Amino acid sequence: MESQTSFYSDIERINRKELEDLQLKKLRSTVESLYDKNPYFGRKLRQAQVKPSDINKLEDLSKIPFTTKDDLRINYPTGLINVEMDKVVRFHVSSGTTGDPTVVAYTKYDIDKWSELNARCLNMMGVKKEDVIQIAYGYGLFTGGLGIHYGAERLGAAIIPSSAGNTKRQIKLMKDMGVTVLACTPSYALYIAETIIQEGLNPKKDLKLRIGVFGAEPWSESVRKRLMDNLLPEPYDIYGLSELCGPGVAAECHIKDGLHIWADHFIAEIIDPKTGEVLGPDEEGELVVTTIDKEAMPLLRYRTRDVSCLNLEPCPCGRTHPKISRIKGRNDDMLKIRGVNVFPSQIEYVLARIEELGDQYQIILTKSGPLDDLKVKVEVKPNAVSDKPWDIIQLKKKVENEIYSVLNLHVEVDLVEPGSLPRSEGKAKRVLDLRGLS
Amino acid sequence: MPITQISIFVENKPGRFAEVATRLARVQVKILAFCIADAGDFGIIRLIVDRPEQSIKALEGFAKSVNQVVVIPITEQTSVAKIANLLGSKKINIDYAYTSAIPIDGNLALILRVNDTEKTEKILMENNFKVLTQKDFG
Repeated sequence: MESQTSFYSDIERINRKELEDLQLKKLRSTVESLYDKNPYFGRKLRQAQVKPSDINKLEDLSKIPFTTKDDLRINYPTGLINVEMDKVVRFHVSSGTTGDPTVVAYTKYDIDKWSELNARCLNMMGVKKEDVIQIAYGYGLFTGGLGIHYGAERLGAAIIPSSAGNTKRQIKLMKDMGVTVLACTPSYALYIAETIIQEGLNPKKDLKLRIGVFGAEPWSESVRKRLMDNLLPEPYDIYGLSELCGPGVAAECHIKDGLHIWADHFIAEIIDPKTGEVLGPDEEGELVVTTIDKEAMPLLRYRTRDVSCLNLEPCPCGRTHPKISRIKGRNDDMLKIRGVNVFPSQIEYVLARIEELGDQYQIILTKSGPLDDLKVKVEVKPNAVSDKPWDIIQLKKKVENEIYSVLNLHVEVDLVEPGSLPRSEGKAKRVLDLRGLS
Repeated sequence: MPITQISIFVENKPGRFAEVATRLARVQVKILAFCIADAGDFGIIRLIVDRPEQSIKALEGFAKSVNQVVVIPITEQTSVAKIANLLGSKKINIDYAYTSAIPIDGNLALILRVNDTEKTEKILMENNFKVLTQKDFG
C-alpha cells in the first residue's frame, strides 16, 4: 500500500518518535509565547499554576486548562490575538452554527501553513495538478471556500471558485468544464446529485467527477454510499474548525478509516466532556485540539464539542499522523430523548440505508408533557411508492423499526413528498426545535 | 388491453389534489376517473386519464407509481353486481374498485385493481363483458 501512496510532504511519514519530539518542542514554545504575551491566556495559565517550564513531556499538556468557545466570546473581537495587529493579514468570522459568531485571525505565516495543510489533504485524496476542482463551499467570512482554494492552488489544480448556490449553474459548469473534483458540504452534494438527475443528466456518463471533498458537517457511511451511487466514485471526509484555521485540520486517506490529523500542527486529545478527564485511544469523547504552529491565534486545548475517538495504530497508507474517527456530531447536537442519547447523524445513518427514501430529512423536537419527543420527517423517492396505502404504511413501519434497532427508541416517522423539505447549499439544518413553542 | 392508472403519493394537507389537477389541466389532460385513498398523514390519488404519458411528464417531481387496471363499462346487462359475482366465482381478488367521473365511450365505467389483470380481462371477455382499452379514451 505504502508504495502507492503519494506524499505531499515528507513530514507525513516522519517516525512517531520524531513527530512527538517535534510536538513537544512546538507545544512548549506555544505555551511560552502565550504565557508571556497574551494577557488572557497568561492569566489563565498562572491561575492554573502552569509555567512553560512545567511542559517537559506531551502528557504535561493535561495540566493546561481548556479553552472554550466562551473564551473566544469574552475576548471578542481581537483579545486572543497574540501578534502585533500589523502582522495580521486576514480575519474570518465563524458561521455561528451555535450562538454568536467568533473572529479568528491569520498572519501571512498562518495562511501559508493553512494552504499547505489543505494541499496535503487534497493530495491525500488523490487530487492532482491535472484536476479541475469546483469549490462550492461558501467563500467569504466562512473559511470553507478559501481554505480548500489555497490547498488546490498549492497543488496546481485548476480551480473554479463557484462558491455555494445557483445549483443549475454549478451543474452546467461541471459539465462544460469537465470538473473532476467537487468540494462542498455533503448535504449540498446530495442536493446537487438530485438536481443533476432532475436536469436529465447521468452523473456517471455526462460528468467527469471523480473525487469529492466533503466536510463542514458530520455525515455517515450510508451517505457516502449514496454519493457513490449517485454522484462520484470517491467521496472523502475533510475536517476543520474555523477556530483552529478552517478546513484542513484532518482528512481521510484512501483507506477511508478515520481522518489523519496533522500532528505537526495540532495535538489531539479525547476527553470525557463531563469530567474533563483525558480518555485513551479508541474511547469515544470530545475532541480537544491544541494548535502548536500558529502565530496569530494559537489555542490551548480548545474544546471542539465534536464527538470522535483517537486511533494511534499505524495506517496502511504509511502516514504516521494519528487518526480521529469520523465526527459523530457535536456535543450540543446531542439530543436526550426519554433518557436515550441521540445524535442526528445516527438517524441519518439509518435513513440513508433505506432504498425507498430520498436524501432529505428533518428531525423535529417537541415537548410532550415534561419530556422531549422527536419525530422524523423524511422524503420518499419519486419512484418508490405504491398505489396501495398499506404498502406505504409498511414502509413507514420499516423505517421506525430500523431506527428502533439502532437507537432503542420509538420514533414516529412521517413520510413526505419529494421536494417538500428545505434544501441546503451550505450546512444543513436537520433539526427543527419546536420545544419552546409547545 | 389493460388501462394505465397513475397513483400519486401526497401529504394529507390542503391544496395537494388541486396541484395535481392543475398540472394536468395545464397540458390539457382529461381526468376520466379518480379516487383518493387516505391513510392518516398521507393519501394516494389514483387517476385514469386520456393521455398517461403526458400526465406522467406533467407530474414530474411527485412520488408516483404506474400500474394496470381493468376498466369495464357499466350497463344494465353488465351491472357491478354481475361483474363482482363473476370474478368472485373465478377466485379473482379485487384489491379496490371505483367508478369513472364521467362517461367513457357512452357509459360510466368500473375500474378494478385485481391480483391478476390479464386473467381478469380474459374471464370478462369470455363472458361477453366489454373491457375498455386506452384507445376508447380518445
